[in-house]
Amino acid sequence: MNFLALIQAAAATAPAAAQAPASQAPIAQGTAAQAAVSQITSADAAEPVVQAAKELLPQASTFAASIDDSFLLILWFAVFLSIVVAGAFAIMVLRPSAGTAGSTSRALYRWSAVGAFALVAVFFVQGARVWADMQVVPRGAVPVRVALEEKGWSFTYPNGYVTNELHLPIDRAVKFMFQGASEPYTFAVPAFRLQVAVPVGTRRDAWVEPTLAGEWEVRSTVPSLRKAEELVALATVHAEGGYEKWYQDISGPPLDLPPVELGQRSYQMRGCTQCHTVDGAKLVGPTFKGFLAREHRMKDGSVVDPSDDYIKESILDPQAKVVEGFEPVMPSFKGRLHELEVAGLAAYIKSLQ
Amino acid sequence: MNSSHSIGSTNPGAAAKPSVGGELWLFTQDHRRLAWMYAIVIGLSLVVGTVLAVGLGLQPLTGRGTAADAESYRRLYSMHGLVMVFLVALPALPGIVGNWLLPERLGVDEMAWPRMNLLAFQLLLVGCVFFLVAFFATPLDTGWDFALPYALKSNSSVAWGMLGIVFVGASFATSGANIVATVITSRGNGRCWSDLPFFAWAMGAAGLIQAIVTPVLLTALALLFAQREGASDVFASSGADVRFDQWFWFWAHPALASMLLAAIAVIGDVVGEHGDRPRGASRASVLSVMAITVFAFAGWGIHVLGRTDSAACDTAFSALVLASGVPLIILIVDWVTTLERGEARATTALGYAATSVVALTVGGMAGVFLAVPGTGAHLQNTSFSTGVLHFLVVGGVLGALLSGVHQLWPRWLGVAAREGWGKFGCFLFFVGVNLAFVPLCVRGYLGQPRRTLEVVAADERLGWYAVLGAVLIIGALTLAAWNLVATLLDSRATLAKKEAD
Repeated sequence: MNFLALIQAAAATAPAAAQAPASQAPIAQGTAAQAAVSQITSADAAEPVVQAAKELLPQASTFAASIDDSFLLILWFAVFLSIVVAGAFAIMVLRPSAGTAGSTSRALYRWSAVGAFALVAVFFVQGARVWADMQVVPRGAVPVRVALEEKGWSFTYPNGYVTNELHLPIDRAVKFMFQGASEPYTFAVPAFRLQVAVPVGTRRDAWVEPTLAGEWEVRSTVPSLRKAEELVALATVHAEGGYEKWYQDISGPPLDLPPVELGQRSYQMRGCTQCHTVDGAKLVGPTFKGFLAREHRMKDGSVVDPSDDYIKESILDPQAKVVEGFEPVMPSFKGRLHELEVAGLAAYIKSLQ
Repeated sequence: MNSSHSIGSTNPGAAAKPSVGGELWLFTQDHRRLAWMYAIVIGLSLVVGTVLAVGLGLQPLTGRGTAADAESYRRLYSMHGLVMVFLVALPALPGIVGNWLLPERLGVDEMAWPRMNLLAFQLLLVGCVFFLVAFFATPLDTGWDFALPYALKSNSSVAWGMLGIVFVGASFATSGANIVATVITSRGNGRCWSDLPFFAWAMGAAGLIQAIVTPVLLTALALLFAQREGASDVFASSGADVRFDQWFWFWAHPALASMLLAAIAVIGDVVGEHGDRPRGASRASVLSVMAITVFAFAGWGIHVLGRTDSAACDTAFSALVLASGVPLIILIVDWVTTLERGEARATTALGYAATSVVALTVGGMAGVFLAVPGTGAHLQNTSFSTGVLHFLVVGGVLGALLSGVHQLWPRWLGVAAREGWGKFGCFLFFVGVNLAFVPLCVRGYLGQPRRTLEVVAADERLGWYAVLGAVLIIGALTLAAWNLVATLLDSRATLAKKEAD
């Protein structure tokens, strides 16, 4: 049993540990702590505390358990030292008779110094080990570019897809490449125990290996004049195979297909079907049926030609021209579609009779 | 007012001296009267800072979400920090306890440079005036640390705040140099270094740090001011925020250490009086003070952990900051053994000293979490760091101040404060400090960012615990103030009766 496990086991065997108040719950969630708790008879009593802690701040990455171990090691010693110091002062004033006059033994100072150095060294080595792991990005990590832009977070995937939501695979390393903005920000995901500071105009790299599927909050913790919601994003860790499916969806169809077929696949995969039909039915947006044959009258009364340029503009900048009888609710697909896909969609829409 | 019966000059243990500056206390060069003047200014500042803290604690629990709420919250925490750091935490112990006790402990009549002592106080007053302007014009909203690039864009009273700090900083540097000069020149009467009392060593170290590092802060603020006015672009390029923080923390980290050294001076003195070593200093305790002083200059980089390109620098700073905990542990051992050999009684002064030592222990150990690279990166910018700072400043520094004042009160007035009420106040203070600041640390570990109105970390009960703790601290301070003032009024009445007889 290593030193850390020894301390955790000692702490867990203390009767008070089983009845720790809720405020102490978040710090008792390391996997090693759970192991120590499970070894002893008070495990059943401690279980709700561990569960509550896991609910408050789950360990959702490989770093989380290591950092929690490091935290617990220091915490138990801090509690122990504080009780010893307070107790020593109390005993000195409450004891019945005075001690013997003289001077403190040099050996006491010497051993206090040696003990303090040893403890500090243990704390340092424990923390530095995790820190060193965090500095070396594993080979084959999934690269994601991260930036905090004017409208909020932006995450760019290897296929060029840009989104304001972070999607991550489970049990696979992800490399974040941060681009500094005009103000400093941090990329903090408490569930991963990961916080990366990105100073003004600099670049930073970091990595993480998510281990728990779910949705975790991403936040910049640097005080800012921005609206609070602009500093927050959602990180979705997909269950086994979920990320690959999501990535395939955002990657769209193979770009070497003939234009009309490519457009048809894009229409099906990119969510166009939610608002536009190809059978003449009216949804949120106009149908694509008979696109070339009908007149395209806009809200401002103008009439436009059903050209490729008009279709491309409607996809990339949908608010530029809004069709009469419809609301300007379509989101822009700028940066989300390959230019061949846009051309394919134009060809597909024009092909519909 | 120069009578030996007046408050400022009353000292049963030493002869009263004439006030060189005439009748006006505002121009007095008497170190004891200056201690009283500091006590009044710092006491009023403490009240203002505490009122701001109450608003700060209640706002996230009552209203949140609107831009106006967020703006007023920024102003509240900025002005709270400015007042508490620059007008309470930094000047309190050297100004009040140091001014009163240092000459007495060294066996001299006066500080080395009485005029500079007066000048330091007057500079503090001028700084207060500029802070008041910053408060009432457009309250500062940049935080007390003038974080970039926020401080470059803010339309609040940044310039007034910085001007206030220039004068207050000049006061610290002047006062620090005076303390160092007093310690050094006191050795003229056959006294050698080994004869110096512990109080002089630790307070001298605090003064030395203040004298050396304050110019760094003033330079950083001058550069920031020049940039705001368009006269410089030193903080315009990439990494500017880290560059400014390096300047700022090169002052702030040692300044925090100087606060703690001043607290250590008072604790050591009170413990010595209660133990077997009144006014003495062991070699180990002196070496520990020296080590803390040296480490104080080598720890600023921990405040930019993970923000530079160098993991090696991060690791080195981490090791240096962690090592600075070793001398603190040796000091605690020294204090306990000093008490062990004497006949310590449970007094209010010793109670506050013990509270301060426990708070320094908890705060110091909590600081370890921030200094260890792995946990430190997770906890940066969270309310954990706020909790640590408050443990050290409120529990450590304010606890030491209360200890020192209760210890000095009989010397000031010839009458001790009521022990029963004093001990009850001390108990409230101990409970309040822990109840108020442990929740901040817990929420920080859960991911609650500091300086945000939004409650992110799940359990809001923690916020209410912190408010309850703050209420207990305020109750303790009110009780202590009432107890001390009541004793003061009693002693004045007794004095008047004696004079009438």
